[in-house]
Amino acid sequence: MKVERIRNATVVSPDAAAAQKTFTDLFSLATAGPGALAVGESRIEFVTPAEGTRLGEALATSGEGMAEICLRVADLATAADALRKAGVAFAEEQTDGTPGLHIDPSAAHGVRLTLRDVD
Amino acid sequence: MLSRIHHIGVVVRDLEQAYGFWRNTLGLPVHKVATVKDQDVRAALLTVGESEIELLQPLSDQSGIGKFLAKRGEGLHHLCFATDDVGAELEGARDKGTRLIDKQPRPGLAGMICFLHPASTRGVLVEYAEPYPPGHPGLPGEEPLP
Repeated sequence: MKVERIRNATVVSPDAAAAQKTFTDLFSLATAGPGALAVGESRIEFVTPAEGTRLGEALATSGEGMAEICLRVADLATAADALRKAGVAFAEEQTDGTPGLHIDPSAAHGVRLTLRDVD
Repeated sequence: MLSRIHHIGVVVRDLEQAYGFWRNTLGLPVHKVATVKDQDVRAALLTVGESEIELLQPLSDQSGIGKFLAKRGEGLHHLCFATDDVGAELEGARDKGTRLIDKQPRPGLAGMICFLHPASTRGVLVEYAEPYPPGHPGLPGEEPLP
């Protein structure tokens, strides 16, 4: 598996737009599409998750804050093979049409970690 | 000016155990390991693109990281931005009325660092780091790479 970079860190908030504005005002980061700010080769994404989703659970249990990181990999199929060989549990899901591998947080030391091969 | 994510901090119970996933499965190389005495932690920096994953293992239950682990378990801890002037960033944050954890920059594993209070940053513990210049000895306590 080749991990290329931190694709994004995700901040969950009951008011994602307000959270994004806080980061824009304080850190002077440029907008990188809807709900996202650019910093170097990475993004900070802001989400108000639906109840019952992975990120909704994070917001409900831990409150507003950084809930997930996503790493950009060179190839998702190769990454999935490597995870299977290592015995790491994961789920293959699409978010807004973008495929990703959601690694079981118990395997990633409590981190909600997603792997994607597209931006 | 913030140039990149310097690192994302992750609290773990045991560094050597954490290498099994972060280094061996994901393939992220460990490029620094050190004991930071004033924080009572062992930390490992793993390279990922222009950024790093910082694994943090508490060395006591009473340290900040130890209390975090006891209360919330392993997981995401903080987000660190790289800057070329940590003092200017801190002044700018202060001028904007941001609550600060550190009143002035201090030496850390990633360089000269300071933390902002998550109450001002939407629940995210944010760190600024101005990396040490080339040739700087860094902090004492560095260990051989695993």
